[in-house]
Parts: sequence; structure tokens; C-alpha cells
Amino acid sequence: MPAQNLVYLFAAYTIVWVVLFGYLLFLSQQVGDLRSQIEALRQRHRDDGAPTTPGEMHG
Amino acid sequence: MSVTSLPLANRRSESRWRALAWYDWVLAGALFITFVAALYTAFLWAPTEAVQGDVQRIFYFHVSLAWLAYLSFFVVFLASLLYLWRRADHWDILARCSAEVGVVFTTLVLITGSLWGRPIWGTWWTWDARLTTTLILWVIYVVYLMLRAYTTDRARGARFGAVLGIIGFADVPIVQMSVVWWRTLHPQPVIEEGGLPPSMLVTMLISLLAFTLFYIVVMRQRLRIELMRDEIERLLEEAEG
Repeated sequence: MPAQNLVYLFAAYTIVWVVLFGYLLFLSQQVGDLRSQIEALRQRHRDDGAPTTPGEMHG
Repeated sequence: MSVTSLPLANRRSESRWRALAWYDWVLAGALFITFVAALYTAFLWAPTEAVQGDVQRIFYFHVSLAWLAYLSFFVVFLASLLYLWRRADHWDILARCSAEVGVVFTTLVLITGSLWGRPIWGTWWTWDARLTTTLILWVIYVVYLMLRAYTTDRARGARFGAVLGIIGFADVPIVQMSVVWWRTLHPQPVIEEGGLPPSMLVTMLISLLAFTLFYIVVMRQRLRIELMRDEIERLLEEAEG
């Protein structure tokens, strides 16, 4: 096989790794951002003295 | 904040999406090991194919990605059916998450296929039946995701999405059978026909296992995001109410 064909093999595996782990990283960052938002909202509820869960509201 | 400082109902709610549990670490470890094994077998253990040479090693990831794309869209199909039957939001969430992961896999199938086709067929792309039906599959689920993103009425979006998720799945058997039904450049199925030597088959199966674990890990993260969004929505509603 011509050696330049190895470039295609290398490119294919590199792209797969970059895309898959980039996607996983993107999801992890989203989890982190959402967690911060939830904490901030809960803190605001606590500061306002409002219930933070349906259980607290009805119970 | 530690979980123990939260009220009971809050703890229950948070336990659905909170930080990684022990089985997440087991999954991550298994994923790492299988990916290392997949790379080792694909590059060092499997024999070099006589005609195509080393570039044929793209096959192991390319085919695994294609099978996982089929699985993702099958989950969309099943979850969409269950949503229309039961009208329970969690089926809709499952369908939406799986569609997104399926689109990522299909994108990689198209890219790796193109990178394989260039040295073997001498072209990046041809309007061959397998390639064309796969591109149509990708377009169907990109449209699905756009529909879900731009529909403001959640219930309506879920209904339309479920219908598209069911109809769209019809393309999966067409993609699979395209190499049998039409004359194509794409190779005929070799795995189902038992045409692979045992070492190549084992390499293929390890790669398939690695991608299946990846699918499970990513789906867990994706579902966690949806649960957190629900939690934010609820907290905002309470703040407004």
C-alpha cells in the first residue's frame, strides 16, 4: 500500500477521537453550567424564604 | 453544596442527576479499557488486509459507528412509539437524547467512509446507494433535532418529533439493504455472511463493545442534562409563581 494512504487512516481515527471526546467534554461542561444555575436558583429561593421543592410547598 | 444539607424532597430530585455514582466510574473504567483494547487489536493485532493494506483498518471504527447509529435511531423509534402510546415525557426525552447521539455517530460514519473511499475508490464521495441513503438518514435526524429545537410548544414538538422518529427509522433497513438491492461501489455485508477471518471478527466485536459503552456513557450524561433542565424550569416557575 502506498505510504500516503496511512494519512487517511490517521485522519479517520483522529477525527473520531476528537469528535467523540469533544462531544463528551461539551456535555460535561453543560452539566457543570446547569449545576451552577440550579445552585444559584436554590440559593435565591432560600434567601427569599420561598419553598424550593413541591414537597416543601405542599408538605 | 453537600447533598445531606438539602431537604428530603430536594435530595430525591437531585439524586436523579447528581454527580457521578460508583457505576459511572465502573462504566468509565470499562470504556477506557475497551477503547485501549480496540485500538490495540485494530492497529497491532488484526492482520493487514491483502488488497487494501493498512487503510482497511478504518473498517473497525467505521462499521461499529454505523451499527451504533442504527441502535441510536432504533431507540428513537421505540421511545417515540412509547411516547405516542403513553404520553409520558421521559420517553420523549429518551428519544431526543438518542437522536442527538445518533446524529454524532452518523456524521462520523460519513466522514470515516469518505476518508476510506478516497484511497480505495479514488473519490471522496459518490452518489452510490449506500452513501446516499446514509446521507438521507443523517438529514432526517438533523431535521428531527431542528424541529425539537425550534418548536416552542413542548407537547406539540414531542408529538411531531415522535411521528418523525417513527417514519424516519424506515430509512435504517433501506440503508442496510441498499448494497443488496442496488449495484453499489460499497462492499457487500461481510460480517453477516461470515466472510471475516476470526482475528478481524474479534477486533470488530471489541470495537463494537467500546462504542456501545460510549453510547451508554454519553446517554447517561445527556439524560442528566435533561433532568437538570427540568429542575431549573421548575425552580423558575416557583420563583415566578
